[in-house]
Amino acid sequence: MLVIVNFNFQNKLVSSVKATFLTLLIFFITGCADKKSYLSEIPDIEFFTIKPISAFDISKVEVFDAQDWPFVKDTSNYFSSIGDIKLVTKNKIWISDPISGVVAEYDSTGKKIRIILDSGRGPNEVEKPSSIIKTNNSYNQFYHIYDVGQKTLIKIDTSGLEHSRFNSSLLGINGLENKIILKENNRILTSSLLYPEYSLIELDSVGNFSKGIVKKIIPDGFQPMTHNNIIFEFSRTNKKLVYAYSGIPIIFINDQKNQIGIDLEPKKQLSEINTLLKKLPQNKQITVKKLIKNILIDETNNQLIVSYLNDILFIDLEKNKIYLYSFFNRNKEKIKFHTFKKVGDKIFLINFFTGNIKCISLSALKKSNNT
Amino acid sequence: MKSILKRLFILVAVLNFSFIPSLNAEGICYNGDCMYYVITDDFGYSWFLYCEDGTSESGRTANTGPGEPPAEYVGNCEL
Repeated sequence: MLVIVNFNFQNKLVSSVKATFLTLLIFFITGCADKKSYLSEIPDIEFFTIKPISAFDISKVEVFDAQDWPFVKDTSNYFSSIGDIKLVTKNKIWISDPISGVVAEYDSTGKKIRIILDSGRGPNEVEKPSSIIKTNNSYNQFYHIYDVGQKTLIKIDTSGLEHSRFNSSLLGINGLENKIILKENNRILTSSLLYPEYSLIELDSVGNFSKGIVKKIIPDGFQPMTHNNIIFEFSRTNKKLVYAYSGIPIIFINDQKNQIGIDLEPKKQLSEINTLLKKLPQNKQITVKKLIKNILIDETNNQLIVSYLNDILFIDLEKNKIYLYSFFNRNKEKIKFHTFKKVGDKIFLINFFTGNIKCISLSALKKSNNT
Repeated sequence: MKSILKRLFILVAVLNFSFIPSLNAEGICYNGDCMYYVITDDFGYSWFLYCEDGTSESGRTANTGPGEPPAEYVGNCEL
């Protein structure tokens, strides 16, 4: 009797262990399958080696000396929005304002000097100016202003005089910021939802489609379409393309040697941080969060600068090192920003909602690393 | 900037009272008050919303057509 009881007990124990093991196995498999299914929906991901951010040596740095950029306090300088900021000369800064429809020039103290391009549709006029792109030829320095309102690229010289313009229906729209990169022979890289199949496309020098670069995640005719929005940067020097679907926490780096993806949220499912990639009918109202806000390539220091949520990551691929910066004001409140710009030796954190611009010098950041 | 902030404040009030603002060609609107940033194109409206907490959202809605009710904003922006 005792033996039978013992046998039953052993049986129950074995069953219990089996059940627990099975449950854990199912949980594990389900978890993996979910994660895998999310990654497997990203086009061409099989060509990339995906590394979790935890594979890097990460230093977290808190910065407390972010300053207000002076001119935001000057009420005569009110502007409605910021599309781009460019350092034209040491004492000349251009800022595009897509909502007011102007490009204005400021000095380094934040004093408004003049309007470069005023609102309108004529020569030296713009509707919704966004990117300011520096271009050089052998003799002169020019800037192209991307007018997202007219889908037009306007070429101006450093004095602000317009030289030429052309429009293309394929130039993309991505909110207040609309990055355009001019490659060699004035070929254009633009993130556009308007071309079938591809999110990042290359146009020729007059705006005709040349080739697709990055495929769409969500096919045309389905929602959530804005998961197709691409944040990108291209280095002409070493032909390096760095991009991300702005709602997906993975940075893709494609150069002539390697194709690497960095997963910024390796332990999270997409459902925890953003709208899923599930295809829905076109008339379904749905929203997508922008997780990756901006990507820059710092060729001088051979690193990537990426803003993810309200942090900025400096990624050194050769040293396998990431500095993750969080910024705080003097009251130790975290600074919340929608994008950042690198202007000379400074990083500008821009909040479109409040109009606030914080300014941090890169040398101060380097100093923070050493402390 | 002031007028935009005023409009944003109105949207804050709208969201706090659980009304659903609508999307149309002028922006995300409630009772005629609109905020940016909405662009119409061949497919309909592309909109971009910049929230106070530093998050931003984007969406696209098909043209609802004349006489049809405007699309609703369904995002999670906590203003």
